[in-house]
Order: sequence, then structure tokens, then C-alpha cells
Amino acid sequence: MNNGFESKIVAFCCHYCAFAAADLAGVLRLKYPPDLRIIRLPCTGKLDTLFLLKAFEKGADGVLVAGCLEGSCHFISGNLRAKKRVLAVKNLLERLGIEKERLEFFNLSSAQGERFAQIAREMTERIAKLGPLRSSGRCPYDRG
Amino acid sequence: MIVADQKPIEEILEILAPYKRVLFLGCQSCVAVCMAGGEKEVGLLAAAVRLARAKSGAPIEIAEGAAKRQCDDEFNEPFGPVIQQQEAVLSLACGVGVNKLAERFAIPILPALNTRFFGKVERQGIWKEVCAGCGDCILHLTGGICPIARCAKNLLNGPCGGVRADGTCEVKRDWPCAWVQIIQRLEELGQLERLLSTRMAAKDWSSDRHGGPRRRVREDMLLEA
Amino acid sequence: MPSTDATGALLVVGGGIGGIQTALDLADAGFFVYLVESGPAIGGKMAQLDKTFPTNDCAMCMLSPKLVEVGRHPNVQIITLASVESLSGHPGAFKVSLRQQPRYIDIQRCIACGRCIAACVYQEVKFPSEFNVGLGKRKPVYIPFPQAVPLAAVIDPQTCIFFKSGRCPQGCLKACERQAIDFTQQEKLLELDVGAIVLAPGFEPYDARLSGEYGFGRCANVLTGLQFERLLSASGPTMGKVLRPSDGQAPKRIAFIQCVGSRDLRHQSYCSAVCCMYATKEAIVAKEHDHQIEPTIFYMDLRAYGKNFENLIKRAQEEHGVRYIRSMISQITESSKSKNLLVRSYAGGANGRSPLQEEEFDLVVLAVGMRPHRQGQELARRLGIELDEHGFAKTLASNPVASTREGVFVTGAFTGPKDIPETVIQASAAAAAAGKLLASVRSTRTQTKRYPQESVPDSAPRVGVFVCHCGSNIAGVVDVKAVAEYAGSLPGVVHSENVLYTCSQDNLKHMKEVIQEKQLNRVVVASCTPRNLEALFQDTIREAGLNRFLFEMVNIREQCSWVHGDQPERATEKAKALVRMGIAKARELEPLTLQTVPVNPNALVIGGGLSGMTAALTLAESGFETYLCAEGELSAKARAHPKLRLYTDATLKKCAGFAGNFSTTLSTPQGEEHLAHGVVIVAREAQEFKPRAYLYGEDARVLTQGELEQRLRLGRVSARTIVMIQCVGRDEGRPYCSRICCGQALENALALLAEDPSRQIYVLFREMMTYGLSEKLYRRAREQGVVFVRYDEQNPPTVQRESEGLKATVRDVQYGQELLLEPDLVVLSTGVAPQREANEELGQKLKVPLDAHGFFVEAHIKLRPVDFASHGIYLCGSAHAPGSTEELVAKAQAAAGRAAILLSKTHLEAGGVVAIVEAEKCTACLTCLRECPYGAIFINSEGLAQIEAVKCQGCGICAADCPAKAIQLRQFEDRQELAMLEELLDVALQRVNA
Repeated sequence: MNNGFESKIVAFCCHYCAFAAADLAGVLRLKYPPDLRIIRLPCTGKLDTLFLLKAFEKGADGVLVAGCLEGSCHFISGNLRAKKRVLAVKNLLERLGIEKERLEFFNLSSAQGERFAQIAREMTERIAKLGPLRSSGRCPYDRG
Repeated sequence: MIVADQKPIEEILEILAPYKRVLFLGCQSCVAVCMAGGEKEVGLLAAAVRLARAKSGAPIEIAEGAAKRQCDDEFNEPFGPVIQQQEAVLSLACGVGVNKLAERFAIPILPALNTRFFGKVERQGIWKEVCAGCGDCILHLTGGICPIARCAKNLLNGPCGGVRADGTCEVKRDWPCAWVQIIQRLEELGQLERLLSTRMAAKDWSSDRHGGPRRRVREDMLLEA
Repeated sequence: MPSTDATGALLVVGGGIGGIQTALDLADAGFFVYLVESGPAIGGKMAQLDKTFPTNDCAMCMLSPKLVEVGRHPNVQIITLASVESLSGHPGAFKVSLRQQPRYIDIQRCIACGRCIAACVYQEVKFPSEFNVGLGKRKPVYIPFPQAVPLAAVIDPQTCIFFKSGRCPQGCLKACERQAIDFTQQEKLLELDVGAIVLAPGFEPYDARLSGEYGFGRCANVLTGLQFERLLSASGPTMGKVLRPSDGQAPKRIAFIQCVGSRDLRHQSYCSAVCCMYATKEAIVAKEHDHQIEPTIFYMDLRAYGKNFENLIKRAQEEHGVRYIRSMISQITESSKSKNLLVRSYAGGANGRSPLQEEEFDLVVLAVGMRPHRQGQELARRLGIELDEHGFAKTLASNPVASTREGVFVTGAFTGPKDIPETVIQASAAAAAAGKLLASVRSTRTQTKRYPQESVPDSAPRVGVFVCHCGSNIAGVVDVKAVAEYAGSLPGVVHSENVLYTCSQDNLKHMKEVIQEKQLNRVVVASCTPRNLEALFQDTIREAGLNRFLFEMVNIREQCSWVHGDQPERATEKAKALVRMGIAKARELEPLTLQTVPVNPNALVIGGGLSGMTAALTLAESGFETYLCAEGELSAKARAHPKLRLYTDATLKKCAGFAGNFSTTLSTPQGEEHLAHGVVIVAREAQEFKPRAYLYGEDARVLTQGELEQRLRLGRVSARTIVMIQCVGRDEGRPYCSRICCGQALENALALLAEDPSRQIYVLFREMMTYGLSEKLYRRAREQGVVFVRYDEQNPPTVQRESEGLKATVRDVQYGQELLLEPDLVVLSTGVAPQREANEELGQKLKVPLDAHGFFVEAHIKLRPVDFASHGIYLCGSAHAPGSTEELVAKAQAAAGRAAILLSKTHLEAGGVVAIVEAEKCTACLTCLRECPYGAIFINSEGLAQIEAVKCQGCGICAADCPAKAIQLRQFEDRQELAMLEELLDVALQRVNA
């Protein structure tokens, strides 16, 4: 399923919903591939478009952003801003010749442990199909 | 403020194609306010260009910076040593900044923005042109609404016959006719009579940039004797 | 008044959302709270819900943070599996005895790892799960639900083989690595001294077996609303898939049956107030889960009386295709083969239809009503408080949270059917009322912890890493030794070790010793989720003299070992990457100091109506100096209090400042008045709407309900035939239901009939919104001969003036006929309308939001219903949302209670995880100011953006969008995040290359 390579997927998750859903996936002992690693944000409102690009630049093969369900943001509207930002970066990626499918935004409630695991599986599969972002397997900007 | 747009990423990549070491220099003034060339955009653009170049197998080394105001040498000076080590500078300032850098530094200075107009924030994310910098202001007669900048035809004794029933412009749909706005505004101010009784003289465009490049001198502020 | 021996502790009975909110409010306001719950975990019914109406927010997302907060509140002690035995003493100094059942698990030791459950002699789950309302199963040893507080297993002696037969290998005992299981635990009696008691036993769903015609209990595919809720829940027995119990197939046709057990003289005569909305919500959510589903709702009256309720129904119909059928259900029968259900309904005989209809469904969901909880009945008996004829606690409209016994307060669904916001409002109201009683002993029983002086790290990072085994929870999958070793090799790390249980008391002590011994200045714990224990570890390092922000937690359990059990090697690599990322962030951490801001203990209340007066008096009587800006004339009965200063005819000119420190200028007839205060309560009322229809204002025989009420009081009504028209003016830009008009009309109708029973009264209505206990008005009015005629929104009644008198016509929807009436008096139910312009003006001055109709908008409809998003400003009154007297009083008390929490503190802590502006870079572009959801940003005297730490909630939206990169959110700064990102990705890369 991993198409011969172990991908690197960064997941920016908001504290109250998506991160909690990831926790619930654990509590329910659901399985998903370890390719995905979570960076916790207080709210996806904090998600900086710069860090989406930086993630790819630093070697991520896929990035996902997960915020609260629409209307349920604990900080009122952060998830709506995040959605727009992700859309803008997806468009930019496409123009840079990078598959925009490598970046995705999801809305999740803290009760959706199963959905989190499913997203993790789907995203990993999707990235496996797309292959590494750099065919050389090594990004010139990584240190060392 | 000066409102600018970032050039399409494809064009920027083309402009940068010959270079491998470039400073991306933003400007924390007008273009930061209009979200085209502040420090945030420098970071974003640099990351995007690095990604594209890495992908195309022609990596580029980018230094990043943002001057407080690129149209003054003093703010650009701190970047001098960095610029020395570059093959080129990509300026994210308005055209003024690009000119200014080009005067000061002997390497290619490349524009990342298309400088558009003098405008205001309509609401976050939308900027509108409201002044054309024509050099001969008549806003005291038109209720603070400029027909030169805000009428598609620069009419002085408008509105034209093309104004729509809902008060929008025939050239630019969704734009209100400047003259409809002027008349409404003057009516509110009780100054409509004054407008109706004056006929605007034909505009002298020599003060506009059509009269050639312009310059302003204020004698009393000159430091030389 | 409490006696001099009063105690500053309280007992809250019931751990549902109401009890939790009361406990939190009281504990935050300086009281010690014992929160008693009869079950093994708090959370109540809300924990079982999937979504909540009308926003369809996830219930657990809203509840879980509250569970955690109350669970670790230093001034709340949760006592589970306990019930109240008796009460003695007097208000202010009660003695309560509690009986606590054994859990057979030591909560302090249990880490909810689930090993005991796996090791239970029952290999399969066997017994109906209470949490899943019997749809799922559990073992005799179980964890109530994943987010339970306290998060610990429990053994049910009713089903446990050991207790039943004494013969069990007790695998659980051996499996537990923490020696948390104790079969010797005995029932305990506890004696507590408390000053007051709040009862929040809540409701229980009506037992649908009592209404045999619906087939519940007999037919496999007939479920209750709460069961269906569990089917919808992503963490429910079917993981959120809607499946039929009989065959596990996805149902297509689902019928929702309303008023099961409610509005039924054989069972509960009252309306349960929430079922129309919860069925609508469930229908929408089901449809969202599975597009194939065709939901049908069979209802008698559609009661969508709350804020934005009607919109939800509209959306259900228009966007989701939910079918609504007005009818009564006569019988449901099951097909023996398909287990499908035949629903037979009676829908009246209009338009030549047969009155009886039959339709087949795959699944039936019964919207069972709310009954007062059995435990509430028992409590009432033991505590000697009175109940009404239904079994709800008796209260007064003037104090809806006071029981008939002084010092005992009642709240939530114990006082009548209620939805979540009403419950939360009442919970805060009860906390306010109880707190008022004990105002003199506030802060006498609470503890404030003292910490050593913090040392400021001046040297390079000295990071200490603690990698948790969590027994075998982590160590069983991840090579924790390798992770700790690897961590020790990373830059800046001076200490790295493995710990069996990081959260155990002995380890916390050990951590403190290591911090001092090795002079650590950053600490990383790699264990479970920071959502539960981060605060505990932060507190620990603080006890060791470190700033609590010098801590980073890495989740290698829920987000690693528990989800990658099948790939231990990769899980170990991932754990290394995560730890490396955590250490990278730790190296970049900086100590954050909290500013302490003194709190001005005075309050400003705006609005001179019932709500304003109630809120102001509650605060004054709680010991806070209160200024009541009554604006116009005081419309409520003024009551004097030495701490209450009244400003009639005053208006708010300007208000500046922030929570704890507002300064306000009032314009009064005597000149300007400058006030300093710590909180603001907006308590404006909306007014009865004056329509431009039905000859109102043109003919003296046309009145509003409010005007009729006044005339009735003066005994000046002579009319014999009266026509009342409901929902007048809702087409004049006020599409919302005003909630109170149906009840008001019926009260007036009954008063008219009491004067003269021979009067003929017609009520022309669209939907009779006599929700909750006010259903009895509807019943009584029908019994007394009031004629009810339903009209259609598209065909409103007409009223004409003719020479011989008034003529009214209406098209009766039910019978499809035009009626001609000749009333002497026409009374219009016009509802309430906020004074939009005045509210807008006030909204701008206080920077608080309004909705499209001019009502003020609360911070969160469910969880913060009387707070504005801006800290320190609260709201109540009908200018927030229409409500009955009782509801408005509760809301005003609640707002006062929320305000009292802030006022009871001498200082507020501000700062920590807040955004800050780097002045050097700020271009004053105003982006942040425009985006901040909390109005925390302003342009300072230097013309630059500045963020008020007291107002900032730390969402980071400004930091992410600043075009000049001038804003950083502390603890989530760019350099910290960049460091994390680099390390996270680098580690994986190294491995691929290695």
C-alpha cells in the first residue's frame, strides 16, 4: 500500500477538535499508518500559509490541516479562515507544478476518532499514489 | 496608499530563471498594508520559488528581508552587505522601490509586483482606486469623490448617458457611477446648486503624468545653500 | 440570611451539564464544591448526544473541555457512585450525609489503559452498555466512555462473576499493572459540612414501553431518540453508521414519532420542549451520514420556539428533504419477516383524504419525552422539598432556582423540561443564588497554592526528557528505551530517562528532584495526550521553581503506540521523530510571565427592566457595589439596596477598558457621571412589537396582547366575542418566533373566561408554542371552550371594519374552510422586537455583536449563553432573546452569577499564551484589528497595533495573517514552529537515507 516509500505527512490539528479526534482514534485503538505526524495548533486560525509551504519545502510529501466543524470553532471563526488559506495554497501549488492533492483541509469534531483514522489512511494512500514530492528523494534545502 | 499586485508566479519564475542567488526584499509600507509585498509575502514567495526550482532541478538560494520603506536608501542600506553576495534582488516593493534599489545597487533589481493604483481598503481583501494623482485636484467641488479616478471616462461634467438605472457604470459593472455618487453626496451636503451652476473647465492634463515625468520641489526645505 | 457559623462549601448533586456548570461557576467564584454523581462518571445526558440543535455542534466537543476543567479544578471534589442520604442543620450550615457505593477500582491509581477489561473472564462484551443505552455491550469491568471523568474503570458487582459466584480467576487483578483493582472496597458513608445545596438530578427519558402502541421493546427496529443519538455518534456502537438493530442493514425509510409520552394525559400532560428540535436534528444528521435515508417526522405541533430553531426546520425541509406530517399515531406494527414497521397515523380528513394513513418504514425513532429523574423524586423526599404534580421541583417565577426549602436550590431539567442552553443558564443562575446566600464566607474554604520563586533561565537550554512506559501501553509497542537514549543524544538535552508512569505521584516528586539536581530549564514529557495531563506537569515543574511555559508534552500513546500497534518498528521511529520535535520546540521555549491586573469589584448593569433590576439586585445582594443604568424610566419595580446605585434617565456615553477595569461615562439629567467598574451586564429588554396591520392604531377595537393585559388588570374589557391572531408582524422583517406570545394569549384568554365564561374566544394561530409546562394553558383553554383555528403562513387572517362592526376571516387549514367571524375585539399577538438602532449604538460602544434582527449575540449558544465573547461583558434580557418572566429572571441571575465570578477575584491573570505585536515591524495596516474575534486589538497612541493581553484568547488568527509578520502568538511562535517542522521532517529523512 505504501508504494515502496514511507511518506512524510504533516497534520496541523487544532487543539479542541482535530487533535482530540486523533486522541480518540487512539483510545479506540484504530489503526492507521505512521506516516502522519501531528503538529498541534491552538486553533487552525493560527495556521500560517507560510508553514504549509515550509512543510513541503522542508520535505513533507503531504500536508493536512484539520479544524473544528464549521460553526463549532472554539475561537469563533478560525477554521473558516484556515479553509480559505488552504484553498489559496492549493491553487499556488498547482501553479508551481505540484499536485494540489498533496494538501487537504478537513473539518472534524472531537468525537470523530474513526474519521480521523480514515483521513489518515486515505491521505497516506493518496500520497503513496502520488509518490515522493522529490523524485531524488532528497531535498537540497535540508541540512546535513 | 499605493496598491500593488503580486505578479503571477509563472512570470516571477521566468524573471528569476537566470539567477541562483537572490535576495527577496519586501517593503513594510504600502505594499505590506495591501498584502502584496510585506515580510509575510516575502516568506511565502521565497518558499514557493524554492519549491518550484527544487522540483525543476535548478535549485535557488534565497535570502529574505524586508525594508521599512524601500523608497528611501537609508532603509535599504542595512541590506547592502547581503546584496553584495547576490546575483540579483527581487523587490517586492512598488515600482518606486525597484527604481530606488536600482539606483543604489549595481546588480539586477527585479520586480515581483505590478504597481496598480492609489487606493483605499474597501473591506479586508478588496482595494479600490480612488485617486488618479492627476496633479490638479477638484475634490472640493465634487463632494470628495474623484471623477477622474472613479469615472471610467474621467468625465468632468458627467454622468454620461451610459449610466444604468441602478446607478452603476456602463463600463464597469458593479461599480457605482461616480457622478451619481457625487450628485447624491452634494445633495446631502446641500451643495448641489453650486455644482449645477458651475461648469467645469476643460481639464489641463499637463499636470498629469501625460505631461511627462513630474517632480516636486520645496525650496525652503532644500538643505543646500 | 446565613448564620455566623456559615461554611463556604457547597454540595452540587448531579454531574450532568447543569451540575457541572453550577460547580464550575461556584468554584470559580470562591467556593469549595462537592460534586456528587450517582453514576461512575460525570457528563450526564449531554455526553451521550452526538450533535446539539440548532447549530448541530458536536456535543462531546463542547462538553469534554468542561469535564476536564471540572475534573482538575482545585476547588471541586467529584464524588461518584454516591447519593444523598439526609440533610440536617440550617441554611449556611448544613450537614449532609452521603452514601458512596464501592467502585472496586482505585481512581488515583487507575490510568484507564483497559488491560483489566481485556483480561476479564468474559471474553466478549456481554452486558448492555448504559452509555450506549443498551445498543452496545460492555463487560462487568468497563470504562464508562472514552472521555469519562474521572477517567477510570469501574466494576459492576451486578454482573461481575466474582461477586456473583465468588469463583473467578480474577484476570483483571493480575492484568492491572498499577494495582488499582480492589475487590475489598466497601460502601462508605460520608459526612459533609456545606452552606448550601444545589440539586441538578436532571431528567430521564420517558419509558416508551409504557406506550404499548409504539411497539418499543417488542419491535427490534423501534428505537428511542437517545438510542438513535448513539447510532449517529462516531464513538457509538456502530461507529456512527446508521444500522438497523434487527439485521445490521442500513435503513432507508426512517420515521420519527413525536410526543411519545408527552402531551398525553395518560402519561405526561406537559410538552417535553426539546423533542421537535432533537428529532429534526437527528433527521438532518442521519441524512448527512447516509444520503439514501428518507426521514419522515410525524408530529402534532411543531414547536420551534427558540433562537434559530425555525431556520433549522426550514433547512431540514428545503435542504435535506425531511418530510413533516402532522398527525397522531394510532399504532405501529412489525412485519414478522422483514421486521419493517407499519405506521398507522390519523391526520384528520381535510381535502377528501382518508383520515387514516398507513406507511411502511425500515426504522422508527421515538421522540420520547423528558421525565423528572427518579433520583430527583427520592432527593426531594429526603431533603424535604416540594414537587409539582408532574414531579418537577416547585419554584417561583420570581426565583426560578429556589426550592421550597431555604438554602436548597434546584436547577436544570429538575425544574421542568429544558434544552442545553436553558439548563446552562439555570445552572449559572443557581450558582448565583447559592453564592449570594454565602457571600459572607466566600473564599474561606478555597485553597490557593503557593509556588516557589521562579528562576529565570539565563543559560543555554538544559532539557530534561521523561519518556513514559505507561506500563505496557506505550512500552508494549514502542521501544521506549531506544527513544530515551536517542533523546539523550540530541542537542541541549542533559537528562533523559524512562519512567514507568510519568503521572504517578512518586514520579512527579522524582521529576522535581531531577529538575533541581540537574538544573534543568526545559522539560519534555513523552507520554499521553497533553489534553489531559499537560496542566499537571506544568504545575509540577512550577513546584520545582520553573516557569510553567518551559514545558512541552509529546503524545506517543494516543497518537503513536495505540494506533500503530501493528508496526512497532515504525512506531518507534515515529516516537523518536515526535520526541525530537518536542525537544526542538523546548529549546526555543521562553518563560512567559503573567501580569496580574487588579479587579475593580463594582458592576455596571444597563437596562431598567425586569432583567436589569434582577441582575443588579443579585449582584448588590452578593456584596458588590452595583450601578444600574436604567436608561429610560425604570420599568421594573425598583427595590432599594445599600449597594445599589440607580441612574434613571441615564445613557451610556462611552465605555473603555477591559475585564476587571472598565471606565464608563454616563450622561444623566444631572450631568456626566464617571464610573469605574469591573464588569458590564447588558440587560436591555425588547419591546412588544407595534404592527402596521389589522387596523391596529386605526380602530380602538384592535389591541395587542400587552394592551389587553393592562385593560384586564383594570377590569375594562366588555367585549363578548374576541378574536386573537397569533404571529402578527412576523412578515414585517421579524421572521423569528417570539416564544412568549402563545402562552401570553392563552393566559389572557383564560382570564377573559374567568371574568365571563360565556365569552366566545377564537385563537387564530400558525403553531401553538406552548412548550414545556405551559402546555397546561393550551389544555385548559381547550377545555374551557376556546376555539383554535390553525391558519397557514401564506393565507393570513384578515380584519375589516364594516358599518355593523369588525369582520375577521380566516382559512382553517385543518378543515380547509373559510371562517367568517364578527368580533367585538381583535387582539394581536405581535411578539417582541429589539430596539435595533439603540442596540446597535450600544453594541458599537461596548464592541459587542448583534444579529440581523437587532438582538445581542452571546459568545456560545450552548456553553456561554450569557457571556459576550469579550471577557467581562455579560448579557441577559429579552434584547438577547425573548423569554418568559421565569426565563428572563433565570437569565438575569445567571448573568449576575457569571459577573460575580470575575468580581470575586482580587486580581486577574493576563498573558501567557497571547499574541504580541513587535512594534518595530508593525505597519498599522489594521488587518489584525479587523480580524480579532475578541476585539482585543487597538491602535495605540503611537499609531501601532497593540493587543490587550486581558482580552486576547490566544487563537492566533492575527499572527497568521499579519502581512508584516509583526505578530507572534507566544508558545506558538514562528521560530518554535519552524524548529518543530524541521526536526519532524528531518528525522524521517535521515532514516530513509540511513
